[in-house]
Amino acid sequence: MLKKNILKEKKADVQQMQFFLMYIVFSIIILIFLLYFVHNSLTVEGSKSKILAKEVALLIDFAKPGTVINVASTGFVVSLDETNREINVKAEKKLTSYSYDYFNSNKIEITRNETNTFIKIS
Amino acid sequence: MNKSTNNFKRNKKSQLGSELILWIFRFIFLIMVSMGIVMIVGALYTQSLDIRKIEALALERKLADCISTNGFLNQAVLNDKDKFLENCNIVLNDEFYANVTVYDSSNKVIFNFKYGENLEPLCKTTSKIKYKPGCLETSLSVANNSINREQLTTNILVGIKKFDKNLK
Repeated sequence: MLKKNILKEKKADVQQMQFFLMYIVFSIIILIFLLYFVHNSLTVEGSKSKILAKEVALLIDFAKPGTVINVASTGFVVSLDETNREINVKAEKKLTSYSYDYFNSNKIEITRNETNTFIKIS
Repeated sequence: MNKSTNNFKRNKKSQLGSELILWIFRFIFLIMVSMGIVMIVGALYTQSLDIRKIEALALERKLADCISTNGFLNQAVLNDKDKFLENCNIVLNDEFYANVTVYDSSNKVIFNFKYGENLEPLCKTTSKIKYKPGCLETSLSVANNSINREQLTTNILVGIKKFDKNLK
């Protein structure tokens, strides 16, 4: 009888240990997500992507055919989503990008070198 | 002996049950604290950047340039109302509202073009509302291409919603 009780007690302890481990794993996952979110919010790249995408979208909207927009884009990748008519800006250090739409229906081409992105409206 | 063993078993079971509830509360507490941190950081460090008024200005300029060329009414663009935006090199989505009206000298409407959900009441309201569209209304004079060079008035009202990308 005593042996049985000891076994049951052990089983309960194992179960408690399992809960504890689950809690630790869960806490670590949440902590990683939390740190990533806080880092993303505090670093300027996120805000800069947003500002750059909106600036470029506005420049495209104001531009007349024949205009070439030169964007200093060191550290960022500026790309065009022609189907949704959106400008995507992604900071090289980050995983996510920011996009903003434009209404200009002229033909738009993007070329880039190491430091600059050229947007040609024709 | 039997009674005490049964009591012991019951005690252990109830202890395990209360432990389980305690762990559930710990999980809930952890989630709540994390959500609180996310909300505080989100509110403090993510700034909204509202560019809708400038965007409305860009659209208004484009529409005005399309309607008039060197101060004269561009009749060719107005003739095909269905292709008005296309002829102006503009593609709008459901976040936009545009209302272009051309009046003659006797204030009679000679051309009207509307696009999108009517945002005019929201644009013109003076009451404070959380989700107000970015609006711009302008009026400009253009001359008719006819021999008498009749002065026409063009009203352009532009409204842009885009709440998610400008207010949050």
